[in-house]
Amino acid sequence: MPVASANDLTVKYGRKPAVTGLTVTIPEGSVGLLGPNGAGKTTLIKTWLGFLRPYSGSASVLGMSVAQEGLRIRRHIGLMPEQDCHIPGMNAVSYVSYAGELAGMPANHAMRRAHEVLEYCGLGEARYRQIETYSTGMRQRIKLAQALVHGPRLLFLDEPTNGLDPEGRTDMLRLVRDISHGKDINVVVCSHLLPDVEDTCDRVIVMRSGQLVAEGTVAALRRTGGVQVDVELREPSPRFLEAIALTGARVISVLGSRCRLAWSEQTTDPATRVFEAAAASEAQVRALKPALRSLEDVFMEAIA
Amino acid sequence: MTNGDRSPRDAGATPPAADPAPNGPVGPIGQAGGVISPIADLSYRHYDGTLKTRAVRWWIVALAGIRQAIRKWWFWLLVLVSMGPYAFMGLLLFLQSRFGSEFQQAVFGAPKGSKYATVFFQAYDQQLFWLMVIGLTVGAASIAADNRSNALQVYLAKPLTKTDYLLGKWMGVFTVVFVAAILPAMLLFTYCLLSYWSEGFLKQEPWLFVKIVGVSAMTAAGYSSLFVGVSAWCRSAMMAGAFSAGAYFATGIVSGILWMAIYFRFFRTGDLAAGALVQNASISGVMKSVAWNIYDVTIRAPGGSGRMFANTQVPPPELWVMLTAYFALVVGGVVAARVRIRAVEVVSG
Repeated sequence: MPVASANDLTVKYGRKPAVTGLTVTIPEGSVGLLGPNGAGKTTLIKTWLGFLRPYSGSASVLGMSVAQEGLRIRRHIGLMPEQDCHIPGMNAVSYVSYAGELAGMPANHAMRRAHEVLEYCGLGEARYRQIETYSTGMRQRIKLAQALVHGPRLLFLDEPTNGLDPEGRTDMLRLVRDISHGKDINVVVCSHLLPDVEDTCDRVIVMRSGQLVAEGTVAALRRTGGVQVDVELREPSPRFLEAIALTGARVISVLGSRCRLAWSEQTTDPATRVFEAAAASEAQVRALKPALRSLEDVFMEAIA
Repeated sequence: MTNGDRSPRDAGATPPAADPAPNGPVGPIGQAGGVISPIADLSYRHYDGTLKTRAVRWWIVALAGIRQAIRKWWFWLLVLVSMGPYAFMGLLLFLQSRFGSEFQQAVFGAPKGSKYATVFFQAYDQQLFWLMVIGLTVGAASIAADNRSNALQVYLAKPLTKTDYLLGKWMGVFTVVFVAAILPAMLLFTYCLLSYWSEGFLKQEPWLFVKIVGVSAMTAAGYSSLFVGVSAWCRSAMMAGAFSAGAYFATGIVSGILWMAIYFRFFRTGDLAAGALVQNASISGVMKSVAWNIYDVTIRAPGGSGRMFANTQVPPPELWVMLTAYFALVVGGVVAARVRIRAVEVVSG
């Protein structure tokens, strides 16, 4: 069952459309919502949450209509907003417990669960500190904790690594990856940081100007067309490039001792050709693997 | 962290988990080799407990507001100060019981039979300002602080409607002001009940208890609507407080000036009741007038008959006018807040 979907969805801010005729299905698992600023990612999430009313079309989350069952939907989802958000004057454990109670948990369950979730999010030692005193990284974690406390089936993470230093970012991505794999939680990560999505998501949806421009698994999107391989030599070798060209290969890129080679679709034995060319040019092959595009290439291609 | 840092709500919570084994294999405690295991599972576990319906979710919001308010020491100081007028009236009643009816006439100046209602109304009149201060400290920050910290997204991403949220915020302010208003009144009422039972306290004022509850609720509803309404339109508690206090004092000053301007006209004719509408054309005046009508008393005012120091019995201002103004204040505040509460700032155009 898809965890969220939109059918010919149009959302407008006044007269300005933010999402236009979007039809998309979010499958179970972890999905990255990619797009440049203003692509409509956050608008789509806010529509699924019921914050914005669709101008036309329909949207559903966990099989429930956003227009008719908004409250039921929000019992089963969690939101980690992009902006810094906390309830003033509360410490972390009160805040997370309060978020649990708002989601419908009994007070004693919410308190116990708040302790567990804060521990899981790495805030166990700081749970009695006022949130106003937290660093940016800790604030990101507390946002995640309040979204997780009631055990949502779907989690929307809007720019989860916003403002984090490299170490904090790595920790947060590890946490997101852990949540989204084997924990029975579906995760939608909304970001314009491609490595974040690449690290945490199995599928990607790329949006531009409120429309869907690409979607699929990360592996499928990264796959190149035709037969392409990446070759790493012991040292740069112009003779190898000349020899490989004689086998019908096209040299796509050369970076030091590394190069990307492409043949026509019909070529079946690129590895043999590489080793024959290496033998002929007396070059030493250190690595040979099928070429993959980076998510950045996919993204740039999609939004171009 | 010390034990003193712990919230009282933590009673019964799972104790903090021990650090996992720093190194080496993890296994059951007591196994040969002395391996250490954490005493609690630190990994994520899905919550499969009950989730209540949203029937009382607004009360959770209200309760959080009340908890925030009562945690501050100066809140209790304000409550204590606001009890002063009732304590003073209790003292006067005590002195009157010691020194007789002349004292009563001199102090209360009320016709016999409505003495207790007059006492309660005069105490309420003095307390009204302090109730405003209490309401302001709780209400000004109620929604403005959430606006500032983007907390509305957290609230509205939970199964909570805007109405639940608003009702919770409103009820948080209402409860605090209501309790602050009714507590000293009930103490004085109990004192009267115990001390003047034999003098026919209940026979004189059979509805006094209901009137006290009604006046306290009316005042709390007025202030909470005003402050929550203003708070919803501000992004900081300070700004909301400044606007609310500004509106409170500005209307009071304007009505005071207007009344002074026409005072001497009524002073000559002795028709002070006609000026009462103008005198009470302020936020506090509206609430005072409604309370005045509920207690149904006449109060003494200087002037009338052309003599400055003469006293004239002034009846309450027209109830329907004041009720209209009161409901406009309450409904206006609530509607203003409801319109402004949004999870997403929508800039249309």
